[in-house]
Amino acid sequence: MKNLSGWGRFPVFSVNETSPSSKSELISLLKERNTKYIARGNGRSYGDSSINQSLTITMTKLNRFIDWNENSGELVAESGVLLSDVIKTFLPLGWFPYVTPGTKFVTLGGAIASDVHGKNHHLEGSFGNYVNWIEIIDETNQVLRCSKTKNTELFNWTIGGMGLTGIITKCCIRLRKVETGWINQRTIVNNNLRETLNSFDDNHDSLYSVAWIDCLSKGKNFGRSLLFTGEHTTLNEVDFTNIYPKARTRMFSLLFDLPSFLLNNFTVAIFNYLYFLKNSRKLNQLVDWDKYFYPLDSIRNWNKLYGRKGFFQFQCILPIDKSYIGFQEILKKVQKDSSGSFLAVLKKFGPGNGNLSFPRPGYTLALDFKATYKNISLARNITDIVKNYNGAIYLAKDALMNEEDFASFINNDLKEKLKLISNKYCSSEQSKRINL
Amino acid sequence: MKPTQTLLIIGATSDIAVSAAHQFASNGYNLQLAARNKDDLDSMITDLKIRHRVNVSAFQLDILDYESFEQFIDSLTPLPDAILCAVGLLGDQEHAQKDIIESAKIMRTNFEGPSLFLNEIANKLEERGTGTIIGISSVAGERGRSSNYIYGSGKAGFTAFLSGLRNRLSKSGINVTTVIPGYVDTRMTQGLNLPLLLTSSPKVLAYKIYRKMGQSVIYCSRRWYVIMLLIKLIPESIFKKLNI
Repeated sequence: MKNLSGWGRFPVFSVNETSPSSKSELISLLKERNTKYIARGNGRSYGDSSINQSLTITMTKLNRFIDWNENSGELVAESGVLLSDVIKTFLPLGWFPYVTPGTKFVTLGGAIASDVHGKNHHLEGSFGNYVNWIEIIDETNQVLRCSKTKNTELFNWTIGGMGLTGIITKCCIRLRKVETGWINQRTIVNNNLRETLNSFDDNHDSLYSVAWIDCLSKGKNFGRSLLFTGEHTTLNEVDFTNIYPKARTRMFSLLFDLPSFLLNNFTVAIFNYLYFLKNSRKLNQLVDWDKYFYPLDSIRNWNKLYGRKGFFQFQCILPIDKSYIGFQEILKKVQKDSSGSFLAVLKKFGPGNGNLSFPRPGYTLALDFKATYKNISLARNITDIVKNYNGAIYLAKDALMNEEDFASFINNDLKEKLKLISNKYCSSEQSKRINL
Repeated sequence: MKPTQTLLIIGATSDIAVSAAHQFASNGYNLQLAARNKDDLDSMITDLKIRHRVNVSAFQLDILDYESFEQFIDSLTPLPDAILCAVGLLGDQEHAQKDIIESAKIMRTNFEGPSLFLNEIANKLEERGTGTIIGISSVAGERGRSSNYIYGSGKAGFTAFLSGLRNRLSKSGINVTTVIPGYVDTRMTQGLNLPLLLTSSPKVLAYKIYRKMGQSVIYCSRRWYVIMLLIKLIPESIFKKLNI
């Protein structure tokens, strides 16, 4: 038995974990097991979606590249390959993932199961849109291949399916041709919530856009933000020899948990003030890919910032027409009741993939909270606001929803369909909690 | 720029060997991989080629079949610049001490096979006048203990062999490196309850091997060096009564 948690280190479970190193080992393991199980990637989902106490199958040792087509940018790999490995191998050849979440330390299998999104969702959709096919192990321990044209239902439900349709063993993804590893970043200063929401539309054509929002500022600055847009830099815009910079190798590491009192509304307000000041001074910048997409990866275990008891992330989406009023309500609640949210990120989504996949048209807000009773009850209150405005909550971040909460975010037809397609032996602590 | 170097790994399917293959390949080494079952190397080779864009070739080699060594070594083109021996068999001590066949297999796989092989290839390196031989032994070979002396005695023999080989070849410009890892989190040790502070990952070990190759003896960590030093200092009259 081993203690496992998601990236938020809350909640923690004592788990029977195993990590097979080949597909044949995995299949014989599945044949012998007599309990339900869930696959786990690199453990970067925040809550309990990649944990099953009776059997958690960690896939990080199935991490081999299988095929690479240098003309089309198609990569076949085992599901435990990390996005960081993909970048390390293929960026020097001029290729980059189409979609990347805020950390490069996710496995391909995990990225598919959570159908992760990036800063380009409004134009290019989520990770699943760049998956050609998936190989998955079904209830009878047979290996199936599914795609947009073969076993279509299984394919569509596996994307964003939180691992409940079976274990993903391999996949084929497409990469994007890039001329450099640099990003032209622009910063747009928004002074209030209305400006913040509008600035996404004003900058719709930018490939990447995401806003950092100062969730503690009040009065006329309520909802002020910095919108960071980005475009891949073309070759003629860079005049140096370092066209494809490498990932930062010297990573800062927290050796112990910071005392949790260090993060409170006061310190966060100071941080926000300084961050706003610093970034509103440099409006146009050339930034390397690692710094642009993965600022937090530079602290290897930034999840220790929140202290020993861990934290949870709350990420919701609200429909476009409800966003202004809804986020106003949510931010006011946060200002009143929280003990500080260090990170607050807002992003506008385009059309989504449906089924269980999270992204859908609307604005999504992500907040980090220290795992305290006060914050947990705050999260419950915000969940109610999200319900009222017909929003939804991102399963890869969730650690707190109950069955009723989730029932209001998914319609019954969808749930029935999932029952038909899901693997009856797959379940996670999350799927049990919300009766998925 | 240095001309491309070639590393031969025997016992190439072991976790330490896989990590070492990536470590050396990422530094531009071409690889020759040998395993008892060549087919087991397929997926590893594809992965290495895609990731590091180096030449990788696969060979079949049964480390107990010493009559095949000469032919195998002759088939290596080029003769490798460095050789890493990652062959090892932990076995089950309790079973082995009652089963002569099992004991023989463990002892031969850890000592006889690797030593005979390295001796053969060392002669070729000596003729050429350059090369590095790296043998992975174990802390278990530092002093025989009741919990693993069948495996440990094999490794002890291998450590002594490497030491002698180093002594012999130091005059001809061949480096012989003995790697003495402590606990490593691999398939070999899966299911054993290893103390976290004394356990390293194959990746870290591979990095150390790459960085320190050419040195005489590489301990995986200073902690293990100290522990084994203390264990070796315990007088036999006390040691024999200990339960370790």
